[in-house]
Amino acid sequence: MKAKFEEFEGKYIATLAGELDTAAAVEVEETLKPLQESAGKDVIIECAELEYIASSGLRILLSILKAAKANGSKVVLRHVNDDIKNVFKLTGFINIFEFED
Amino acid sequence: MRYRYIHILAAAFLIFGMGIQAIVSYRYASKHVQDKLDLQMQLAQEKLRFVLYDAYDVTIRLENFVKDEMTCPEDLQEETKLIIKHYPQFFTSYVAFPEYRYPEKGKWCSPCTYRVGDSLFTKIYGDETHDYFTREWYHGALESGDAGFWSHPYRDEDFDETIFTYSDDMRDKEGNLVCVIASDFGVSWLQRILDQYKPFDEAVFALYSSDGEELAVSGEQSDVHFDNHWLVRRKTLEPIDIDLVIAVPRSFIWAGIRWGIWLPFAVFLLGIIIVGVLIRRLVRAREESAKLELVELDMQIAHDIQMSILPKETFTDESFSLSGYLKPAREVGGDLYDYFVRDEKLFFCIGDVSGKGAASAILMAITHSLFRSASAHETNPARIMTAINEASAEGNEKNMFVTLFIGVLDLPTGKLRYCNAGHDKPIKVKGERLKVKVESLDCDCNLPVGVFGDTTYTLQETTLEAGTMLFLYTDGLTEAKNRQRKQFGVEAVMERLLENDETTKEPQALINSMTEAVRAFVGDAEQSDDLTMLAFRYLPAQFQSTLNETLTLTNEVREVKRLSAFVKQVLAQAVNDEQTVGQIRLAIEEAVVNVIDYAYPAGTKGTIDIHIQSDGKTLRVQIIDSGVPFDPTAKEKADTSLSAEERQIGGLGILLVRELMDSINYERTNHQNVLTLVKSLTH
Repeated sequence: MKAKFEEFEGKYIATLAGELDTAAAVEVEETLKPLQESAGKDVIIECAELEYIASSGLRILLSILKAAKANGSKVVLRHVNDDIKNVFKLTGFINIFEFED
Repeated sequence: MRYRYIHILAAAFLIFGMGIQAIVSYRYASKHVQDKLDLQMQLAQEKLRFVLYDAYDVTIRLENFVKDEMTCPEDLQEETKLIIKHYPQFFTSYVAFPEYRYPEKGKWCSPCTYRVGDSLFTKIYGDETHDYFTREWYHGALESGDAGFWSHPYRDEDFDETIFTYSDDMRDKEGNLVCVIASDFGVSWLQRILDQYKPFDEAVFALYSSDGEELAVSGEQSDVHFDNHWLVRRKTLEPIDIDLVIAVPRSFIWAGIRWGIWLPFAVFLLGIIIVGVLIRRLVRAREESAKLELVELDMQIAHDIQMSILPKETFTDESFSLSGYLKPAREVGGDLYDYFVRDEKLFFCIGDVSGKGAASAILMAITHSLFRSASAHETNPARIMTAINEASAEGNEKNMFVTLFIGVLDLPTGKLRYCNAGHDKPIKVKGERLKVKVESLDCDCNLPVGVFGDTTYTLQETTLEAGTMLFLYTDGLTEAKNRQRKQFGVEAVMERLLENDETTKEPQALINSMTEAVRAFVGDAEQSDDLTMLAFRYLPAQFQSTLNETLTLTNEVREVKRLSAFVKQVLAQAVNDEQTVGQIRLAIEEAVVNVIDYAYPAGTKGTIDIHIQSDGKTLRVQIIDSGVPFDPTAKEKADTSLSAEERQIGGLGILLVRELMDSINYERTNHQNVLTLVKSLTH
């Protein structure tokens, strides 16, 4: 599991690659912590290489989203594959996140 | 309201008809009476005329006597006596000679015979006080020429009697007066004759002088005034100038026709009243039946609603088949049964609300919905029972109660947990053919639901062997009565269950044969109580595993890595669809993480076993730990429709497990939490 983030053109761009299971979630949460203080910057999460996500991963995304919304900024998930999108569907998260292909 | 006017109309017609009837009857009767009076008067008149005309004969007889036989006036005394004797109608018969005809006799000489009662007296009549020359009859006779003279009635002071006289003068060849021959008639005698012709006792004959003076009246009456209340017929009696009157009181005519009027009136009135009452009853019956129809319609709707509350009558699953039957004694009843499957567990109940009809039907519906809501997140029947009891005891002012049996059968293991609140014990039927064993389920005595809110309900447990049938019923079955008020009885039910032949292999067939048996027993007697049965046979699916892998983990999050590797490796053998593999892997991870997070108290170490089995068609995953009892299936499902701000962090894991797997089942067995996930591999 790899996770990183960078600032580009006034936006945070986070990249998730590999399997975001419960074991990896602790580490990823730590890595992406700055996103929770996004201070009004929009967040783009690049998921093209994300192969798996468990509910603990969803929780990290939810806390990023809640923080962004509180600051009036957006969170966009990019290039999410169908299997992962299905997980978003089953949990109803598909309704609260913005997706881009 | 309309019918009241009909009564008034009928009464008006009746009175009108009776009025006409009365008038016609009266007219007819009057005519009849009048004819009768006329006839009688005619007869009386003839009779009177006949006896009066005897006066002519008597006069001629005396004339001849005077002319041919008389030597002296005394001779006449004898002759007149003969006459009076012979003619009872005469009051007096006499011959009056003119003044000094016989000087030795004086100025007056009138030999006569008169009647007083039955005695006859003769004398020579005439003196100062009885100066007949001044009498009407005397000079009337002189002035009447050849004809005789009928005097007006007059009062005779000597006899105190109203009389009238027939007189005629007798003259010699020269026309000189010889004598005046006279006969007196008493009015009272006339009256007696008339009275013989009275057609009715009530009729009255009366005689009047030509100037209207009353002479005589029938009976003791006098001064009768024949006004409008009398039917009067009047005729002048020839040759004397007397008015003959016959009359009857009109009330007599009315009396005659009274029954002819009142009797039909009474009969008609009675008829109208009877018809009226019948009509009113008919109308009322029609209104009642209309009302009843409405009530029946309502009850029919209630019946349909109640029946729609009940689940399907038959249900078959991989591990059991079930059949239910409910027949209310009336349109709606207080019996209930329900069942549903949740997380590989069969929840079922059967109950009987005290009483029958609408009130108990409402409580039945309430109990049903309480059962559903209480068992939505609870698998312990005693706790479900407690929740139902608390809710239904509250505000139970009618003191209605429900005997209720609740069972939860764990389908993978056959473990039956149950709680009985005063209901008839279910019957267990084991074995087939000749080796059938029938026994009641051992049940604790718990109070029915709704009696006291703080009742403690005990949980009982048993394990159903594969093939066991459980038969539940309400007392409507065992207490079904025939015409002789005999009850069907538990023994008959048991017997029927013992006949566990081919027909009873299926619960449906058992219920059918039980229904027929009880129907045959009851015959044409009315169904006295709601009748409900529920039967199911437990036949768990045989699982022949071709794959059987186990992994043991400790309760640490980092173990998820090992889990993922193990799952991937096992699933690669059993599942050839990448998407399904991903789903099963996620479900297992979520379930295991749940156990890691909650099964063991923080800081304590424990192990978690993961078994993965497959028979090629179905994949079964069991996650077993020895932690504190923890049932993830009892958690309420997370609401996926909420917004980002409202969404909670928790609850996602178990939601995913439910969504990704076909079934999830939790059992606490041997101090272990056993969570079983099943996914079908054939699509």
